[in-house]
Amino acid sequence: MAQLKIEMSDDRLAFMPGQTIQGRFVWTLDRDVQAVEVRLIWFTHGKGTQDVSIVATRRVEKPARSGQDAFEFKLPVGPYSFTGKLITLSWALELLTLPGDQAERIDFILSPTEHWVVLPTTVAPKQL
Amino acid sequence: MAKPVSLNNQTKQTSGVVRYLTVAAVIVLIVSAIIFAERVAYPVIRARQSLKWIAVPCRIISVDELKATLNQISVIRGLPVRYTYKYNLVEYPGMRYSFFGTGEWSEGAQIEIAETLSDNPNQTCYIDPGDVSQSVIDRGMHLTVSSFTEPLMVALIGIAILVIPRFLARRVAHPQAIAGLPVSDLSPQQGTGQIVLNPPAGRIPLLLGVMIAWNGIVILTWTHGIRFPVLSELVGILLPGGLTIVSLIMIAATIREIMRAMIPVPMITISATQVPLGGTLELQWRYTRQIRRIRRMTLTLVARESCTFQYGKTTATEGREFLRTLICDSPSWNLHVGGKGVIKIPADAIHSFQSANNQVEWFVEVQQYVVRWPDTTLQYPIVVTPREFCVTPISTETGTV
Repeated sequence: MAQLKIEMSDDRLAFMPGQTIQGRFVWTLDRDVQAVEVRLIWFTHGKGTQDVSIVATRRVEKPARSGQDAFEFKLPVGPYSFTGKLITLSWALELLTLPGDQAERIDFILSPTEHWVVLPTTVAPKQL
Repeated sequence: MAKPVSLNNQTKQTSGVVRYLTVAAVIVLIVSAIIFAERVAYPVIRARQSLKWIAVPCRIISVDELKATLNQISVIRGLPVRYTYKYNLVEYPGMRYSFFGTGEWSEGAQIEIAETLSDNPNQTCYIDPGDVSQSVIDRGMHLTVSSFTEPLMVALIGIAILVIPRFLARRVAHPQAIAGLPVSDLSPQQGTGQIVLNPPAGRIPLLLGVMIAWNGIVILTWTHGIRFPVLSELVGILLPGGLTIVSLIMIAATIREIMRAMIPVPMITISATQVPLGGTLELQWRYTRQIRRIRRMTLTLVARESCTFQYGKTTATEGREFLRTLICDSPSWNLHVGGKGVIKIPADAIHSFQSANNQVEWFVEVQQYVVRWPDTTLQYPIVVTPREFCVTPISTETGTV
């Protein structure tokens, strides 16, 4: 069983757009793999079919059975982390082996306030 | 250990209108298949089967019905001829000259057949050894070009209904459908200046096209009196009746849409193509046509989240408004040809966002109430960007899991 771990440099889990997210990723593998990759992603969840976007990657080709490497990503302006009744958009760092179906993920918030943007649940009625 | 979120990248997107038209197209294609089965496949199969049938003498009783069909534009299966034949000392009635209908015979050929049968009442017919009550006089193949053109024409209409809306939907896909993706498009406050917003394209051309195509099929069905011997008599009557009801609904929907289009709509101009969260947008509206009939008009800023999802084997879309702010409310006594307003975008809201199956849209909604006329609601999309930050755009891959 492979062991994958992401360590953030300052243990923060909330960031503002444009800030840098950095840390290191550590792996211990039980077989040889083509690569180990850490990805900066956002993904949606909720009622709709899930959408995923890979924003940036840091890859280690032909890694040793165990090792570690550093990552550093500059966060884009958006989309913000938000949650509504139908859609929730989350940001995450994902570490995975290629090929492979195992992954380690750390979710974090990206927004100007470093808090979730929560969509209101009630709205004013229509005028007509 | 979790499964990775980002391994499988596939994209699916469907629109509600396209889905309904797909259903209509499937119905039309089924109708074309039924016509093909009835005009080509069924007679050909029967004619081939009849090659093994037994020849017996028969006596023509009447060709009056055949003569009567000469003055009609109807397609009746088999040339109607009355005759009798004997098999194992039992007399059976026969009514079928051929498996192919009058549409496969020229008028001259039908007259010639009628005269031949009248002059020589003693003929040979072929009977089905498995069911001796089934008989035919001419078991030959009588296919003509028209046997194929009618089902082909209906199939082409079905394919057109299937393909054209998808093509148009791709072309008129929101020109400003921005935001979430790609991130490079999220740069705040791109472009300034007077921008004229256009309401979503009307559905009249599409409705009109579908309505004309559908009614063409229905008129064809009624004028040619197409019957469906492969189906029961009841279904043969109900099917054209159902098609006609759908026709009437389509005509009513088209008339209603044309009535809506006759109501003047304001031209909306905004001060920038995009506005950041917390920013303001100047808005002007102006009517270019008579507004006497409009009793009330409201302008509202609306934000909505919507998503598509799989529900069984179908794809469904659901939306929910999470913000609705009135910009202007003009009753008739105060409704002017034009006006100005300012849109203040809340700073703590979410910007426009669009991915394959999830989106957040912002738009200015115009609602008009017209006495004795359908109300109108038009939505003019605007682009709300994240707050201004100095960042370098990053290229992205996107997909659906």
